[in-house]
Amino acid sequence: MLSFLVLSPFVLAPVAAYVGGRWPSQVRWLALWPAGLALLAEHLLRTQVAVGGPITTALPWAAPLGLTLQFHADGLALVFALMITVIGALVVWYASAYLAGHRDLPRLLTALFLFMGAMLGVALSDNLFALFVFWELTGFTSYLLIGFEHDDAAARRAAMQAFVLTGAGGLALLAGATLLVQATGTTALSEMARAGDLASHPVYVWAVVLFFAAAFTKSAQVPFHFWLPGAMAAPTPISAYLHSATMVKAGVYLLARMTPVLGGTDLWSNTLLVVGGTTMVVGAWRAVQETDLKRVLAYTTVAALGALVLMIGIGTQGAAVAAIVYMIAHASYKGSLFMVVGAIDHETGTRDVTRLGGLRQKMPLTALAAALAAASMVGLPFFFGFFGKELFYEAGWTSARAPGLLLGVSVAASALMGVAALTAGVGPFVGRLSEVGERAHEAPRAMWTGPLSLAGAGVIFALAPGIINGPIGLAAAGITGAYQDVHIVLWHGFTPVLGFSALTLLLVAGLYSQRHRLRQLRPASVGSDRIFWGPLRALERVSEAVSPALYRGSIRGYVLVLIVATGGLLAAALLVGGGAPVPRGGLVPPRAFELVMVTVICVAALAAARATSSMRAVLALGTVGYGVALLFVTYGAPDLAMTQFSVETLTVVIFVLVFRMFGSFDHLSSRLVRLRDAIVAGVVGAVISALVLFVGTADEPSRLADFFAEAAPTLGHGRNVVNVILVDFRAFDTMGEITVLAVAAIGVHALLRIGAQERRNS
Amino acid sequence: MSPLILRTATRVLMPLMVLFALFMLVRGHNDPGGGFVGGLVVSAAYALLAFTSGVAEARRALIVDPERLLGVGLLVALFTGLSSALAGEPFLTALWWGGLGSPLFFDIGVFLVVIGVVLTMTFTLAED
Repeated sequence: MLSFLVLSPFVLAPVAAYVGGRWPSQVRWLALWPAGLALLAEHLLRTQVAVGGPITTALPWAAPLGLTLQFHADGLALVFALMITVIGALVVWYASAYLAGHRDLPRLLTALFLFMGAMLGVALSDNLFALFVFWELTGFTSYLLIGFEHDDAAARRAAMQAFVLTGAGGLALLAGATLLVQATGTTALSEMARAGDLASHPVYVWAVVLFFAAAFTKSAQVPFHFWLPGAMAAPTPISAYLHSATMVKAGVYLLARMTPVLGGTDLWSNTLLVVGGTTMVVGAWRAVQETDLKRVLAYTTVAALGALVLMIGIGTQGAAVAAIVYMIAHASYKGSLFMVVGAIDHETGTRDVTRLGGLRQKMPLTALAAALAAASMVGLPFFFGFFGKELFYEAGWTSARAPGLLLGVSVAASALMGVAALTAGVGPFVGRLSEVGERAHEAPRAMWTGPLSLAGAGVIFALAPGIINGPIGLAAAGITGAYQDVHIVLWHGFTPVLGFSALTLLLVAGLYSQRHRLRQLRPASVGSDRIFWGPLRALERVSEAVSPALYRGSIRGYVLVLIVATGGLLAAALLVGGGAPVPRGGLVPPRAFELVMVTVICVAALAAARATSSMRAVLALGTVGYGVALLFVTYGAPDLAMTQFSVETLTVVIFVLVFRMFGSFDHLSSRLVRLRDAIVAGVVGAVISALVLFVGTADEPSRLADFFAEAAPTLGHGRNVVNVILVDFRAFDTMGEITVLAVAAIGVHALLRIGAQERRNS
Repeated sequence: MSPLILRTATRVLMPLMVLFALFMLVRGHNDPGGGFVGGLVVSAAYALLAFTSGVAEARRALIVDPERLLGVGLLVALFTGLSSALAGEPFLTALWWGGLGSPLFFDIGVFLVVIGVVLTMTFTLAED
C-alpha cells in the first residue's frame, strides 16, 4: 500500500503526458489520482496508524549495501503525505485551466507528477539513502518546473539558482546520512531514534551541521532565503504547490523527522531558534516592501518557514503541536492565496498591487476565497490560522530559552505577515475598480474551486477542530517521539496568549494603513543574491583564466598528456612495487602463427606512423586492430575477438566519414617532434609490455575468474561466461555503460546538428 | 558514385548480416555472441548500406530513427530490471521461466542501444 502511494505518481507521469497531449481538455480529471491517494493516506492514518502504530513496507533493492526501498508511515509522514496529495490534486485541477492550451502542458504534467512522487518519497522513506534520492528528485523536478517557461532567461536563472542551492544541500544530506549510518549502524530512520545517545558521538556535530545545510537550503532559511522569491518565475500553480505547501516544507519536515535522532542538544535548539527567528523577521519585513503579489507571498512563505524552524527548535510537545497546526494552516491559506494571485494575473495580466483594485465586482468567488484565506493568515478567530498563531505564541511563551524575546519577534513578524496577507488577499479586491480590471471577469471554474475549497477547509477545521485532533497528535508524536492526546480548542479563556493575538490584530490594522510608508522604508539591499552569483562568477573567471592554458585545441597535445601521465604513473608503480616481470612458469616460445601476426601488426603500425594522408593512417590502424583481434582468437577469447573485429570495422567507418573531406596532411611534424613522439611511444609501449608480463607473476590468480566460471551455468543459466557477466552478474554496470553510450550519442548528434545548422545559417 | 559490385553485394549481404546478428543475440547466453556484438554487426550492415546507397536509403531501411532506438533500448533494459522488483526481488535480479530468462530481454536492450549509438553517430556524420 505504501509503495503504491509513493510509486504510483511515477507511473502516472507518462500517462499524464499522454493525456495532456491527446485530450488537453480532459486534463483536469488527472486530479482524481492524487485525490484518491489522499483518501488512501487518510484511510491508512485512521484505520491503521491510529490503531496499531506505524506501518512499514520494504522493497529490496541492493540489500547487501543497505539500500532498501523501505517506507515507514507514522502520523507525521501521513499528515505530510496528505498535504502533498490534497494540494497536488487541487493544483492539477487548477493548472488545467491556468495553462489551458499551453503547448507544453504535457511536459508540465509529467514533471508535476514526478515531483509529487518524489515528495511522497521524501515523506515516507525510512531508508536514509532512499530519502536522499527522493530529496534530490524533488530538486531536479522543481528545476524543470521553475524553468518551465524556458524561453525566459529570468526563469532559467531562477531554476538554476534553486537547483544549485538545493542540490548542494542535497549533497550535504548525503554526507550527513553517511555519517549517521556509520555512527548508528542502521540505514533506517525509525531505528536510529532507538540507537541511543548520539549527542556524545564524535560525528554528532558534523552530522547536525550537514543536516542543517540540507534543511536550510531547501526551506529557504537565511542566508539562503533568496532563491525562493526568485523561483516565482515558475507558473503560479507550481508556486502554489512547490513554494507554499510542499517542497519548501521538505526542509522543515527533515528537521522534524530528525528531531528524535539528533535533537535535544544546545547546538540543535539554539541554531534552529536563531536561524528560524532571523528568517521569520527578514521574510516578514521584506514581504511588506514588495509590490509584486507573488513576491509578497513568497517572502511571507520564507517567514512562515522561519517560524516552523523556530517551533522545531523550541522542541516541546506544545511546540510540536503548534508546528503541525501552523504547517497545515499555512498550506491551506498560502496555497489558496497563490491560486488567487494566479487568477488575478490570468484575468488582468498584472500582479502589481499598486495597479489593482475593486476586483470584487468582477471576480466575486475569487474574492471570497481570497478573503477567507487572508482572514486565516491574519489570524482572525474562527479561522484555522488563528489556532496556528495562538499555539505558536504559546510555544514561544512557554519556551525554556528566551521566551520574552521569542514572543516579541513572533508578534512582530506575525503582524507584518498579516499586513502582507491583506495586501495580497484584500487589496486587489476593494476600493475603486482600476484600469487593468476593466476587462476582467470571473476566473474559469477550475481556478476558483481550488482556492475556495482550500480556504474553506481552513474555516471547517476552525469550527470543528475535533476532526483533526487525532492526526495532529499522531503527527506531533513523530517530532517528540512520544504520543500525547491533543485537544485544540478555539476558546481557552483569557490567557496572556489571547492578549498577544489581539495585539497582533491591532498592529496589523495599524501597519496596513501605513503600508505605503512601509514600502518606502526599504533598507539598502541586503544583496544576498550576490552571495550566490558572486562566487559562481569568480569560479567562472578562474576557469576562464585556467582553461586556455590546458585546453589548447590540439588533439595531439591531449593524447600526449594522457599517454605520458598514464605511462608515467604505471612506470612509477612498477618501479616501486614490482619485482622482476617474469610470469609463473616462465616464458613460452612463440608459435609460428603468432610470429606472423606480430610482424603484420608491427608493419601496419609503422605504416600508420609513416602515412602521409589521414585515410592511409586510418586503414593502417584498422589493420593493427584486426591483427590484435586474430591474436585473441588464437588465445581462446572468441567474444573479445568478435567485439574487437566489429569495433575495429566501425571505427574505420566512422574515421573515414570524418576524414573523407581531408586529403593529404597539410604538413608533417618536424624531425624533433617526431623524435619526441617516437621516444614517448616507445617508452610507454615498453611500460605496458612490462605491466602485462608483471600481471602474470601474481602468486594467486584472481578467485573471481573461478567464481564466475562456476556460477555462470548454475546461477546464470548460461555457458557463455562473458555474456552472463554482462547481462546478469554485472547487469547494473552494463546498465550504466549503455546509458553513458546513449548520452554520448546524443551529444555527438547535438554537436554535429548544431554545427551543420550554424553553417547553413551563415 | 559507389562501385557497382559493392552495391550489388550489399543487397545480398545486408539481410544476411542482420540475420546473423539476431542469431548472435539469441545464442549469446551460451555461445559466443550477445547483444553488444549483435548490435555492432547490425550497425555495420546499415553503415555499409549508407556507404553504397546513401544515408537516406539506409534510414528508410532502418524504418525507425536511430535516436529513438537509444531511448527504447534503455527503457527495455530498465523495465527488465524493474520487472524483478515487481516480482519482489532486488532490481535487475534475473528471472527465469524455463529456458527463457529476463537477461535475454536485458540483452535486447543493450542490442538496441548499441545500434542506436553507432547509427546515430554514423548517419549524422555521413549527412554532414
